[in-house]
Amino acid sequence: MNGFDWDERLTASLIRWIALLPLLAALAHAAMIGLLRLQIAPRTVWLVSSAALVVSFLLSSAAIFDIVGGDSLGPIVDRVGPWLGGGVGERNFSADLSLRLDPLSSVFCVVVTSVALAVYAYALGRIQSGALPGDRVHRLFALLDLLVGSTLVLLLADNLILFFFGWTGVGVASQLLASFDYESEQASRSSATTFVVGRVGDLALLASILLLFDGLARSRAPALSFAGVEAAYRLLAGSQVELPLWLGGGGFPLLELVGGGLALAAMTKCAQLPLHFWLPGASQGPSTATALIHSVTTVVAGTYVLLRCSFLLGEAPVAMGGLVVVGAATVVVAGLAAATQLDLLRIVAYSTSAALGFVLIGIGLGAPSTATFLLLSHAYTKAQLVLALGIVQASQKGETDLRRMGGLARSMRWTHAMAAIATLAVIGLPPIGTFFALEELFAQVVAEGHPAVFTACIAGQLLLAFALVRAHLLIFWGARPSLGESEARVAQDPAGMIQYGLTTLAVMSICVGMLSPSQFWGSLVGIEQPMDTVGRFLAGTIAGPPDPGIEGALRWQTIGAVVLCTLAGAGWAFQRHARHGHRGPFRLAALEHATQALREGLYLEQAFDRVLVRPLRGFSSLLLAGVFEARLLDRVVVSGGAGLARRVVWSGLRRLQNGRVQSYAMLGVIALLLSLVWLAG
Amino acid sequence: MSHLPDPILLFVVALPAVVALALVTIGFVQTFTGMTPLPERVWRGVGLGTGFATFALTLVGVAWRFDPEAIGVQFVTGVGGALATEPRILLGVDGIGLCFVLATAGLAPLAILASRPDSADSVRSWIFVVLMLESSLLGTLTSLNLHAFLFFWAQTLLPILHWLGRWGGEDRGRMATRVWVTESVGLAGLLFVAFALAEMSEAQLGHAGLDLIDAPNAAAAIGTAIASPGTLLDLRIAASDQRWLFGILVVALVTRLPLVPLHFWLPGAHATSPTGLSILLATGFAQTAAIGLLRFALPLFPEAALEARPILALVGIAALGYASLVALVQKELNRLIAYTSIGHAGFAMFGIATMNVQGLTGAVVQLLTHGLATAGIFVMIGALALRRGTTEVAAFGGLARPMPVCAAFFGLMVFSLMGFPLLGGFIGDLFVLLGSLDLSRELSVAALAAMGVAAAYLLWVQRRVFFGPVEEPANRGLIDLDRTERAMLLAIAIPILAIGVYPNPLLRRVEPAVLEILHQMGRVSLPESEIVPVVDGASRSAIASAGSEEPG
Repeated sequence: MNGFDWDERLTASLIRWIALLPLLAALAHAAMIGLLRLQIAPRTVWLVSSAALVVSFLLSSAAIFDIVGGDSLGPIVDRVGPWLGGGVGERNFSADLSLRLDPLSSVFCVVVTSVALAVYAYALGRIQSGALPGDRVHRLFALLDLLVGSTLVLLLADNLILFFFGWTGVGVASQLLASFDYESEQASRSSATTFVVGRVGDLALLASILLLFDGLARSRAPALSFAGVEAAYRLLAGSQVELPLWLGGGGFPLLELVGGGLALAAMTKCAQLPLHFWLPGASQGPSTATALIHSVTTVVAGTYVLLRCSFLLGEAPVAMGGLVVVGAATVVVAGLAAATQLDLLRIVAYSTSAALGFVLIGIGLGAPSTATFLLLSHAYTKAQLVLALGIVQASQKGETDLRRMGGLARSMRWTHAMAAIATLAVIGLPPIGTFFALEELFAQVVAEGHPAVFTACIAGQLLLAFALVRAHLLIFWGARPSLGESEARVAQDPAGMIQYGLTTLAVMSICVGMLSPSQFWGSLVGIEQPMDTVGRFLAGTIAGPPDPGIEGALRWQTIGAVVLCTLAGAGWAFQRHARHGHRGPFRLAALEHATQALREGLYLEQAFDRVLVRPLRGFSSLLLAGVFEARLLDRVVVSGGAGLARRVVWSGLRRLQNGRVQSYAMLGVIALLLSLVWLAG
Repeated sequence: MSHLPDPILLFVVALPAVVALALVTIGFVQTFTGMTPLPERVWRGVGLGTGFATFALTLVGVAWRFDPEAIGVQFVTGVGGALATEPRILLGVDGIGLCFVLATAGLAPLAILASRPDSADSVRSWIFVVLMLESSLLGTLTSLNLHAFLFFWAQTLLPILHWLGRWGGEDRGRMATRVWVTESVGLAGLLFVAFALAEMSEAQLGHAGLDLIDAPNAAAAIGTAIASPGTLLDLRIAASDQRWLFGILVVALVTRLPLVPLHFWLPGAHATSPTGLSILLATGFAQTAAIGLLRFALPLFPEAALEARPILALVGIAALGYASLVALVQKELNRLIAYTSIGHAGFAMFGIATMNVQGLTGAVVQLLTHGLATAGIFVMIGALALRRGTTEVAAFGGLARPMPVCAAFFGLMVFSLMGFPLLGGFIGDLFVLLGSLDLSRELSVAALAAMGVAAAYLLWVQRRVFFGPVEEPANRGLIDLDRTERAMLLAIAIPILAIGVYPNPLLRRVEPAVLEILHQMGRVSLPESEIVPVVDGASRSAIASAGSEEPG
């Protein structure tokens, strides 16, 4: 392979551009918007962003062949140079600016750039139809580029600090996209919620990184790169952190703390209970942004942190258990919330929370490759669903209330078909969309998990199928609601780029599951040799077995359970809503109250506000600002002291104070002379 | 002048003061001869030109020629006595001083630019005050002995009081008095410590020189080397004395930082003071306190400093949390940003309290980037006050529509203050946290939580001022930042971005200085040959061979 050495190095130094190009495009847009106030045509904006993204996509596609072509699926590292460093000896903290392309990151890079390309194509369609005015287009693409670029940085980061940079970039972009319509009070508030929850995740991740580094430094093996941490983390297996007394004292395993921090960080980005409430608000932005946030950027960031550190999570059983519990709870609660919503965007948001709950259950059960597969399937299917529903939303002039829709199938046939494919792919109707991944996950749950977790998964899947099919029926089937003449809306299918983008996504979301028949499926259709599945491809990069541990009859039963609960959910929705549309509020008041609580996500956001935010503000304004600052410091210390001083000294100085700079200068000169005299003496 | 070979620092420090004194002389001549006074534009131009010239001199003469590999101070120069035993003013910079000097020299002309409307009357006197302030700040930041430090420290005070008391806003007299009272307490403490040290030096070394370094003297210059008469660092101070002196010195210095509970003068001062003074108060003025702590307090009283670590760290964290909570309920922009400064000062104190390489480096970077970001915000508050005549948060809302450029810059500065990656603030926060892990993991976690609260109030003000619907009719037609304001903010944003994106050049210069301080404290062992002060600018060997840090 000596002859190809230069070739490989060439590829290695190209990796940086995968992440850099979208970021440079974002920077260019930002400079034009924020500094130069340059107005350029929306198509030019689109062209700049898309060109960067296309190159990035081509590079990542080429890179994946590099990996496959290599002998051992080993990583390719693109080292740009030294970046930041400080400290001496074993506390030496230094990180290079280097990017690492391995099976895991290459798969995700291809997925992210391909989905983003489809979304960009869709966005061009929106521009062509004149739905977006020029300055909004510019701002939108600046933020989308930032979102995609930060995600790529996060995927390709070779060390924890660069990873953190990508992570916060994703968070900032999500927050800014949530406040895209900054002039509405609603958007401004949901942006704040997004920010605060994101900040919790940032700090949890930073705490984990710092604790990990500190632990390694204390073991005299400081490392920040993933390879270095993976080589050294076993040194920390026995190390304990003393808890402070108010937490009961005693020791707590360091790796559990690190794993817990990572899990908390992942929960915030994946919108898991009890920090799920930011996602519905953040979905109010443009549908292109929502598609990316829900599929390949923000939620991928949350999961990827766990996948990258999957080797480490094996040493943190408590954190893993926590992930399973949180995931299971989210699956059920978000499923219930999605099933009861009356708002299009909130259904999408809660269904994303539930889907990511499945992914986290997979990771928590020690099956990261299954979780990866599910996440990839989710990415394509959810992007398609959001965009299809985005067309509906646009055709209804931004209306998202399901009660005011219905019967759209007649005027929007193509959209109806797309939305139907997306819905079925998301709920995993065999054999399309997420089905294969869900089946693998359920098999993992049967093999490794508690029966309660399995029950939760079954219930969640049923509710999810019900919720999405219900939404679809309420939008497209049934009768058109009787709106006033002035509100009659012309709904028609889009044309051009929107169709191309969405059709591409539809093909991808149908096929994504079938691309990776597991070993089990291979043997079913008569392939003796296991095929190169996603799980096997990733086996070297992430921990855990590539395939579920069960086969045979039990596996068939699991598949039956998945199919059954999917069909049951869909059938229930058909039975309830196919002809009747929305049924109106429940007759039983208690039931209606419970539904309302579910719709509002169990009022957790309000609870945080009441329990945490308001008391804190009250405490500061009453005690700290009111009593301490204003009374104690201002009146007693300062005014008292100053008054005393004024009486004693100021009266003497007053004669000198005449407001003329010459006399002050004279005073200065005298002071200077005096001090020189003192110095000389 | 100086007998030392490279008097560049002397020029940098003296240039503004010389121009300022020339302005006074011209004033005298005018008054006595009855000449018609020159138009005010001229004086402004002279002030701006001097400011930019000083910055250019710092950039080309000091920063460009600074050797990042060398441990120890560079460009040592002095005025006054030729021997170490004689009183003199001794100047020099290490990596820390370099950052702060660059920041102050760079922001001083911006302070003049930012104060366009504040000083309608008597521009000449005002320029005199600004230049004197710049000169004394630069002198304080480069002092290498207590004589110089005291001299410049005290000299800083008069221009500030004058600027605040004459050109300040409402309630300026009271606020000036408040600053004066607080600063007098600090000055008294400093003087006390200086006298005590002089006495000890007299007793132990036989002379009252208050130099920190063993600078080559005139005898060495003509080839007859004489034995070193000893410096302050050679003093052996009993542990009990160290405790007292360290305590007094720290209290005296942190009045300026300002650390809770000695912060009470700052919110009022910021609310009253003109934009230019606010900028310098947030940068150079606070940084003089940090220089005092790093260059004098830690190396002179190492045992007491190490003992005080937990207290200082606790006070720092408490200050951060306290200031963040108080800021949460502020209703006026200047006061709110003042509490940001107070909180970040606490965080910097926390970094200093770690007394290891990363913590001190982080504190320095943090003070630098915080100063820059705050200066930018003050420029914008000044611009808003000029347009709307008020700085109450409630008077604004939805400004992103009429003032998009201002919104973009405000977002950038606020994100830097919150410590977001790719912006300078993050690097300081990261290194302070890294250093603190060595001291106490619990405190690091507490610091992280306090950072979270700090983010909350900054977000709140950004949201309240720039987002949401435009409700006040007066806000609808606001004019966005003009070219001068944009240029100023760009000049501030570029270093913030540069530090955040590629911090290594900065860290490479700060770390040797920190290593030297820790070496003087006996916490890091360096090969003896490497800590000779670099006078001729010759490159010394790299710090790569620096020994390992002793466990604290």
